[in-house]
Amino acid sequence: MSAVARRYAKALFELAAEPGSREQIARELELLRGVVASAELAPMWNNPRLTAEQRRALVAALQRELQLSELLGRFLHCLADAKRLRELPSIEQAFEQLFDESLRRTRAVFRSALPLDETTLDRLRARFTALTEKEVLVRTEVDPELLGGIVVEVEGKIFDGSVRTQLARMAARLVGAASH
Amino acid sequence: MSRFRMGFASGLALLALAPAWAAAPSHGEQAHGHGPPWATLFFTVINFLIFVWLLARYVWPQMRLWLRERHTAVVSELETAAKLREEAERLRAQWAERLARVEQEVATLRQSLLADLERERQRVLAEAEKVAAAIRHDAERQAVAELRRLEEELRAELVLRAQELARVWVRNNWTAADQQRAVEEFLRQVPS
Repeated sequence: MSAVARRYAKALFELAAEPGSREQIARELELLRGVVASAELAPMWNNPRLTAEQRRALVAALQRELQLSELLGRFLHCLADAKRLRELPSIEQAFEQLFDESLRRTRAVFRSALPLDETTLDRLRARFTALTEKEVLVRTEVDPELLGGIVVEVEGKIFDGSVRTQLARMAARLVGAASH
Repeated sequence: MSRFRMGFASGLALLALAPAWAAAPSHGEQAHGHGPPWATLFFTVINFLIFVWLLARYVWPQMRLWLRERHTAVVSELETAAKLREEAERLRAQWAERLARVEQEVATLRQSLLADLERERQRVLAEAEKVAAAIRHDAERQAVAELRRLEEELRAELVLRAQELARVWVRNNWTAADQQRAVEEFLRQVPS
């Protein structure tokens, strides 16, 4: 995440001060990120040869089609004029971070070898809520390469309880014990 | 010396007078018939005396000086010859002594040489033994290191194989109950 993206995200976050506006901007940014990352639109969105008129036309079309708010529409035009459209994914990420911080919540990824049931998810969420002292928004992923167990990523930290890692540690200990 | 001088002078006088005696009868016979020719004898004697005086005055001192120098030189040469002879005798005796000691010195030298050779042989042997010990030690150390390396490689290979087998086994046999136990263990390990 670049410093430029953080500055733009902070500006947008401060502009969206009305009640409910930040939630709406966050939803729209998430939708917009998915759209501009699509195979149809990504080449045009990231094309540096577009003229200012073409960029403005593209943004206007997106605003119209996705029914984006007035504030986000003006922000996108501003990005288009500054030739910063490619920074949108980073800006969305930074905005989401600012929004989460303002609501005292954080996001976590739970990766497990097998799907987690709701009870287990609740227990894990409660444990990490207690650990971070923030509301934890969870995204779950199933990764068979873990072999078993679970890996949690939260606030830049990784809590690794996977069987794959335990096997690797065990192997490293055995090899290390042999060399000493 | 005076006797020599007197004898020498008498000899010379007889030699000078001899012609006078021989010539005297012929003069007498011519002048007076018989009787000695006194005048001739007188002048002959005078001549002889002058001759003797000249010899004694000028010849004899030079001759005596020459004889004295000759005597001194002969004595000096005799002394030098005696000294040289003594030196030669001394050198001869010295060399004779050395020759007498040569065999002993040769024997001593031979023993010394043999002792040096023996010491050198011992030194070379000790050096060779030291080098051999160092080579043996290095070889042993290298062998141990190589053995350890092979052991580590083998162990690493075994661990890798075991890990792979464990992965396959877990992948095929991991159940929901195992997953639940793993999550419980994970929750115990996460700091609260």
